[in-house]
Amino acid sequence: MSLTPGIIASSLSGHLITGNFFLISQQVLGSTATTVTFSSIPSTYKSLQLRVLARETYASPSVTYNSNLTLNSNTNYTLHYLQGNNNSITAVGQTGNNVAYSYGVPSGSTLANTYGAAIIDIIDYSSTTKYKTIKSISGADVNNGTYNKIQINSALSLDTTAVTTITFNKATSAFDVGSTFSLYGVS
Amino acid sequence: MATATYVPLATQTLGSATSTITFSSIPSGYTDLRVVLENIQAASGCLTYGRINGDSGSNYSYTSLYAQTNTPNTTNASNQTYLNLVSAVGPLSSSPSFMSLDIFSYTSSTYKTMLVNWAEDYNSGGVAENNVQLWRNTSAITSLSFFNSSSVNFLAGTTATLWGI
Repeated sequence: MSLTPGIIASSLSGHLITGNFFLISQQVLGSTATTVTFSSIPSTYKSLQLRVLARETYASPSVTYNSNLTLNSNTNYTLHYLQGNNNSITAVGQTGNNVAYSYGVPSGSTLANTYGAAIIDIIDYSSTTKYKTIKSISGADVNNGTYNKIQINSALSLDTTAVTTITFNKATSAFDVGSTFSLYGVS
Repeated sequence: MATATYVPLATQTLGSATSTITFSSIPSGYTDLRVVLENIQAASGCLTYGRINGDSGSNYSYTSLYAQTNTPNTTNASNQTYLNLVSAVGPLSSSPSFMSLDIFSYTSSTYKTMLVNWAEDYNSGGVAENNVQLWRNTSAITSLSFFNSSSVNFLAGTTATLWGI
């Protein structure tokens, strides 16, 4: 198959910055960590987006869905998710959860150099009158018919406090070196 | 101070039918990439694929979760020779489909993980899908190409935009 020429992206000068999507903070792990925290999040945006690429050091092959996040210090969440796990589908609704959301990351011995990804949106995070709704898509593929997962989530933080801190918690051992957590504000 | 990002790097709006859409010489100054494709195909019943850096080796795999009828489906495949961006047959040529492809840490020296959201509805069927893709290569991504199965063309009016985040 021949490829037709396309746009040379780097040849475009003066890239337009649309001005409503801002990198607030980014953490690229240079050493393993059991938690990753964004604190003192400013209230000046309409919503937040977290973009995560993570892996754990856990020794057994797996893609775990126990990695999670919490907003502030709240420990009361409801959530729903639809998960494709190889050739089976799981739909779950839960109340009274102490974490907001779970996402999948490969373990250390599953496939070298492979990380799971998640895009997590938190709407109207600085409201002091509303609970906080979270939506996300996440997945990990390790070129293996046993451990791959894809998942869509919704979650509700039953807390009207403005979100100023977001904490990612490890599932089993620790987030591995190279795991990247980026926090963006959408104005 | 927060840094403005989500930068459009290139946009293509097809003026005539073509078999392949390519973004090349992608700069390295961002954490992630996003491709948004409004796909108008010249024939129904085809899938849409992608390749990275021109790699046609068996270095791709994916896992998908999708609805085509009244029953949800999931599937996966290993050692593929291209990105399989949608798991079910495509729409009629009069009905554009919509895809967003997020590529994480595209310049890192790790394998590349991607998340895809696909939406199409053509009044007699449709597909809603999320999938995760893996490209087992540690090179920085500098080019992306998209094409349809059975050499079906993208029609005039198809648009593709590459963003840096």
